[in-house]
Amino acid sequence: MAERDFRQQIQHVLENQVLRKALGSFGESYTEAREKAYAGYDFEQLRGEVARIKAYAAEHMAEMAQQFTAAATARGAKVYHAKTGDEAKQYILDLAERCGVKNIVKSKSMATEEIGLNEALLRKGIDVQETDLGEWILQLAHQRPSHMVMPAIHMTREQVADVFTENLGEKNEPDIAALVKTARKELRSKFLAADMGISGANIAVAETGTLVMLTNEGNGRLTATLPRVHVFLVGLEKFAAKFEDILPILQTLPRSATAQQITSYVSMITGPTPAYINELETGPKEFHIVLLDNGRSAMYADRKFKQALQCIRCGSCLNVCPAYQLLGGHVYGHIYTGGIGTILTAFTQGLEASGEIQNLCLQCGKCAEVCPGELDIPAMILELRNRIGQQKGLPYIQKIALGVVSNRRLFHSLLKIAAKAQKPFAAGRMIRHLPLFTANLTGGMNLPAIADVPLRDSIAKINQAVSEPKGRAALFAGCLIDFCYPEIGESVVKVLNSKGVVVEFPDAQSCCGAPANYMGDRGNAVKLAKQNIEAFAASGAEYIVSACPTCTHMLAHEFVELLKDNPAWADKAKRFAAKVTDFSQLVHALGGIQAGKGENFRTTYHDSCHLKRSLGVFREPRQLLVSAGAELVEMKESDRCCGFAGSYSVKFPEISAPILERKLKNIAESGAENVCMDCPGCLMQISRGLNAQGIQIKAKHTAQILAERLADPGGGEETTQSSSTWD
Amino acid sequence: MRDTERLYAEFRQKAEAVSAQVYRAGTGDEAGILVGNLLAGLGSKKIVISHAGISRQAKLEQVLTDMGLEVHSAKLRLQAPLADAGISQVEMAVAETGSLIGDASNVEDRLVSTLPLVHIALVSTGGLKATLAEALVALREGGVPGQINFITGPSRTSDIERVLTIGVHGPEKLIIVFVDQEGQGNG
Repeated sequence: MAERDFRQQIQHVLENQVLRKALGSFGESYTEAREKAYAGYDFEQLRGEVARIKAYAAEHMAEMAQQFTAAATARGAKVYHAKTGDEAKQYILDLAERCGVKNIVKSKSMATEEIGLNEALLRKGIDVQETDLGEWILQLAHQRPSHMVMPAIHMTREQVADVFTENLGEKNEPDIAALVKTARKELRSKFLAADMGISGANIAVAETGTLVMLTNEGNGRLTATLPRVHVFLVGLEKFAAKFEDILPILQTLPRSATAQQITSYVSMITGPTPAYINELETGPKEFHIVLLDNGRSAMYADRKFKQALQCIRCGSCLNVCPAYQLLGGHVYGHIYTGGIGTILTAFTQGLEASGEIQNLCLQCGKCAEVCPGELDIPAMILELRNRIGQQKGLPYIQKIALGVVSNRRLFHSLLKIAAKAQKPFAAGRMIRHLPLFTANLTGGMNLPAIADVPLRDSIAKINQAVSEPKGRAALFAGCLIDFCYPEIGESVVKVLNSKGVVVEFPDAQSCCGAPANYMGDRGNAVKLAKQNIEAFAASGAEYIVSACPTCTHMLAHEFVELLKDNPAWADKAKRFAAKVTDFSQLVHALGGIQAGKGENFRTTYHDSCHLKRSLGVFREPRQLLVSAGAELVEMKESDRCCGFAGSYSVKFPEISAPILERKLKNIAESGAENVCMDCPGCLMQISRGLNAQGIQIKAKHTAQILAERLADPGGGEETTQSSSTWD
Repeated sequence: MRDTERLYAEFRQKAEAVSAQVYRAGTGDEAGILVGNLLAGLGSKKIVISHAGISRQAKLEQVLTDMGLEVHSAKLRLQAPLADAGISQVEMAVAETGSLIGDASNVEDRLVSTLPLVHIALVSTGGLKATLAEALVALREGGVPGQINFITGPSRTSDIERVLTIGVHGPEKLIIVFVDQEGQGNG
């Protein structure tokens, strides 16, 4: 899809208030309901088992297929291996023809939609009915599902009633119970008339040849009971080696999908069972299983993507995704939606098909936290982004900008010129446009003004009067702290000094490479990783500390990843990474700080995505704040992304803005006077939002609060801390 | 026995939480009368039964016929779509989730439990299992049957506006009757 069409489609769905309301209320209730459904179960342990089972099955895919085929065949099933969607379609078409099939009922199967089976059957003049209520509504309305588990989540009862009225020749009122009754009546006659049933499976057990199917409506059971011919279409990712492997999947799939303890029905089918071949006689059922590859084994062969086969198709990654919650599934363009959908689309439809949609990922990591298959969806999307970047090249402006950022001298001198040139545009601490090359990247939004004196220049003037030094830390500032928020860096120095740690600033440090990394420009990310490792090589400090979690994530994790295949750099990157620590984490490890001067204050805490989910730091800053005299009041959804996500807020301001709005609402409702966080990016986004909405809550970095509250200010440096909020 | 009581209580709580109705009878005969009264209360007239231990032993067909109900127990493909209620027996009841588990390889079993609006499931109290894990072990040990069905509450959907609606393609009422003394096979 061309980028312009894609943008228009995003605009279109964002303007759809019905969809916004439906997805919004779902997103809110899901998290709580899911947690309740897992009460009394150890999710981490369960998903460890699921991941182990699925990883084993994926690793032994060919063997699984062979075992499954042998076991199912021994029980009377006919098993066919389809390499492509076309092969699968042809097999099913031939079977239908051979058996004289006129009417087909289908229970839910994503795989059949993936290969376009319905269309192929309809073209042959065979009637095909979807029987899952949501799927049937969409079939009548000629629409695609927008969610894996709740396909018609984007429709209202009024719209459903209209679709029924139009298609069934009878007026239908927008009454949900009545609409469900209508569906029962209409589809019951289809079930009774059907001569073939087509189903999907949730699990295929290799050792027993058993197919496991989870449904709520009962359509799956009817499909498996009434027609004399039954075909299962099963993707190669559905295998589990052992019968007992069913258990952890059964314990996670319904909980993660719909927050149910278990679905109304679970059917386990092993070979054919008798069926009525006419109204009076029973006989053996014609029972077929089509095992579908269609890109799955290629996915396994790709070491960066093989873990995608651990997906159990619960859709929980969609349910928690801030972008999906706003956009729904249709913008993803194909049958599989959301983050995992982007990955599956790349393999079942080709890399090109994921070109635009992969950009929708904020890289907030929330999906990875709830995934029962332990898939690192953000990492896989990033890999797609890089491959697309390599294949197609980045847009011109991005390429120029990233080139500048990764040239330290040029970047820094441009920023210094910008600091002077912005003066006429600055209003308070915000400016409307950044001058020079970055102007095209701001999307017309307020950005923080570039500081007159960057941290790299002001830090040398700080009198680090540490009487008995206990250690040394090399500070990695990162662009935002260095050039926009030097006062955060100064607070970091002050707090660390109070712990007896002297702070040094290696001058040759540059951008951490996150913008390049997240925009799919691995070349520049690698270049910056090397520059920064070099910059710190001469320092003998015990710690490399950063107060920007995105930088810390890059330094501690991504540098190692970016350089791991480079023998000259891999070890250097590892040694460097071993010293890297987040500011709050370090202060906490050094014993925290004592409550000092000033009144107690009410503060709420915003968890930044990289800090919580990549670095696992969320208790530490809270404990630091409390010991500094804060009364901590938790906001709702404290670890939900603020919508900044680096360049995302610039690329998709229309998506970033409503995500921020929800964050601001949660902050305002907390009743706190401060909102505290550990990321200068979040700080920029949130203070900008509070500012624009006139909300009287101050946004601060944890380092600033700690510096303000130090018992002994130590020399007359307090004034440098005073301008710590933006209003 | 105290263990059974604990499992029964847990099962009942879980099953009722998903809109199933749970009853208990001392003997098969008592269960027969209970089922008859329940059906009369529901106004059911046409009943389909897939016979197994409890219903045979309790002569359920006779009991219900004597109460004036129309009862069918064979060639159910014709009768089940028209029936008001279906009666079958399941082997296990899982306390952890309030689920019933039955070998449904027999097509009549599936017809009576899916087509009518009311499904009455008979189960021996001795078939109570604490966990899904235990139930899966038992299923595996017996040699996996052609079709196993787990049933947890009535048929449901949330496909329109995520509003929970009971009774889509399957039964809208699931009535579970435990029988303490089945007379045979009561492990």
